[in-house]
Amino acid sequence: MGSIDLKSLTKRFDDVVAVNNLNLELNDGELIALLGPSGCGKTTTLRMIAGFEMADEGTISIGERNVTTLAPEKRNAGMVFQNYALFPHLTVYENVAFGLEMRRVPKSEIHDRVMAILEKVQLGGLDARYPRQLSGGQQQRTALARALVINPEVLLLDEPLANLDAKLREEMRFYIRSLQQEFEITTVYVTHDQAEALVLADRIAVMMNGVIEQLGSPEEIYRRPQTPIVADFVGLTNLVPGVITEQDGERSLVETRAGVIRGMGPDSLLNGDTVLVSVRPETLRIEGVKGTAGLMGSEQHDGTGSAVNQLEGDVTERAFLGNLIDYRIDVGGGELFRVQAAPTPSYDVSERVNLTFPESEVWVVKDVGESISVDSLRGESGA
Amino acid sequence: MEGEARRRWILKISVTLIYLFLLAPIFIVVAAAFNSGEFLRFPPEGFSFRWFQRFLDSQPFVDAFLFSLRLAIVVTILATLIGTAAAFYVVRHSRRFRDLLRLMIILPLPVPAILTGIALLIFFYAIGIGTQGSIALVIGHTLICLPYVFLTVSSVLVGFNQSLEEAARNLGAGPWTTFWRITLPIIKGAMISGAVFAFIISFDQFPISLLLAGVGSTPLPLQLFDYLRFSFDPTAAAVSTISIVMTVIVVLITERLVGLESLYWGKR
Repeated sequence: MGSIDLKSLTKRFDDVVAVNNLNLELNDGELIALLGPSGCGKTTTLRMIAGFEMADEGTISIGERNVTTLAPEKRNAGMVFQNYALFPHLTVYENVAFGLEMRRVPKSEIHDRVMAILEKVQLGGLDARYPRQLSGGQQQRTALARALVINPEVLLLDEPLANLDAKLREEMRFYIRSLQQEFEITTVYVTHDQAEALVLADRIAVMMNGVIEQLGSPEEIYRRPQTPIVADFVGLTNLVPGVITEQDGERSLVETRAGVIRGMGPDSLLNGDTVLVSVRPETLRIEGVKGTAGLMGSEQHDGTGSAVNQLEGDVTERAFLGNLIDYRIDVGGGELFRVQAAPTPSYDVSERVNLTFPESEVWVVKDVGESISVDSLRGESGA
Repeated sequence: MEGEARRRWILKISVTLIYLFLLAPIFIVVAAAFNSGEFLRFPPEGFSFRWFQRFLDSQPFVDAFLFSLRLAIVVTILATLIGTAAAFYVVRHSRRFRDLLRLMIILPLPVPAILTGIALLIFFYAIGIGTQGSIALVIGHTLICLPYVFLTVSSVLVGFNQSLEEAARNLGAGPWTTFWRITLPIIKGAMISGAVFAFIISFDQFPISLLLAGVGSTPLPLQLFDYLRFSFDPTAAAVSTISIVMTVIVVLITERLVGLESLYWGKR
């Protein structure tokens, strides 16, 4: 087993910089998800670790070995491809045995190890089938078995669940995670699906335009995004532009078109900074306006007397999601808030509602002038 | 349901007519070969093997048959190797000139063979090879057969999932092992279909042979043509029948060897 160390990795295709001076270190046994929209360089990074693309600059180390210029067959990295890449003319057994044969493992040992790993991935008895005779999930597990049976130093997964249907995909997330932990294998997991990354990863590296925007635990990435792009790409959120009027340690007061919002932000923020306020749709509490005035008495107020973290607006859209209702609420000032709340009580379109949200759930991000590209990314991330 | 049944009948009849149109001449030739009469005619006047015997007794015919067979085998091997290599290059590595290269390789298909033959004849004399021996014939036939191998192999390569090769490399196979164990088995079916085409095209080739055949190296179709100019007996039909049987055997053997499997392997 080994760690992975990527230093100043750069890859260009003609004039396009696919990966730009990327640094990333994986600890032994760690699973890191490379998360980002298509074209962000995550797959190129993985292919460089596997040896299918050669880095233009920088070094790649697996364990103690510098493998930067090594051919793929000499790297001892197991890989699962998005389309599984099972050899169509070989049986499940022959597919899984291929890597061991290449390592000149004796026949009897090959047999034992192949049978054991097939049993482990619940494919016992299917060893004589051809890939085309397997379901998507079975093909997936064959690909995993083929990659794991050679005892690779690291495991590389390229969108391994993208071709499965939704229900199976959810099951396989947990399955891959438990397999990875059982084998204690250092793993790079490429995905554009943020839910997958949040469930599976020890740490997530959010990639945009060939660089890592943020590296952190799933919770950090979700709750404390460092840039507007990360805030927007990971999960749903309401991003409201504003200006800091008061900064006290990690507590920020932000003036926005929809009103004053109090939230948490890095203490590097300064008075007068232009920022984006991120409020997750599930952290907003929605209430009918009528007869609720009395309950508002305990709400916070700033010096000017207007309510903080309390917005009033009209429901403009409403979608029933089963366990939730997804509202879009016009709170004035051209701001549309998305709210996901329990299905009861339910509010109808054009009903007037109150939105409240705790300061601790509001996260303030410095706007580095990328807010225009945030919208363009939104379309891509939906794919 | 009425219209459905009628449509099916129309389909059946038209398919029958098409096959009749395609196969009738062959039936007539084969039937004429077993004619016991003196002339090449239909319907035959009786049944006999005498014209086959005549073929076997005729040294020029046997020589021509064996020469055509040897020529077709050499040409098939050359065309398969070159056509496959060309398909790999054009599909995987050519960038800007891909369309131009593809066009140049398949050019012998749209250009009339007689023109290709004349061009080759002038070319061979210009560079001093001439038409002595059979080098000119081998090159000419290979050129004509190349497009068939090239087209069948490149159609498989275009749809070839290259992550299969990456997976093999990832599992520890070097480039050569990857080619022998993964790539070749998957494109084998296409290579063999291309080779069968090449064999048949070479074995039946007339215009190119007419221009490029040297003294003492006469392929079967040329020998047949020469013979028919002076005598019109059913020996020619017997030779044609043998030729047809040869082709059918080649197709059947490959069908047996790789037909069904290549169907499987072509798909993912």
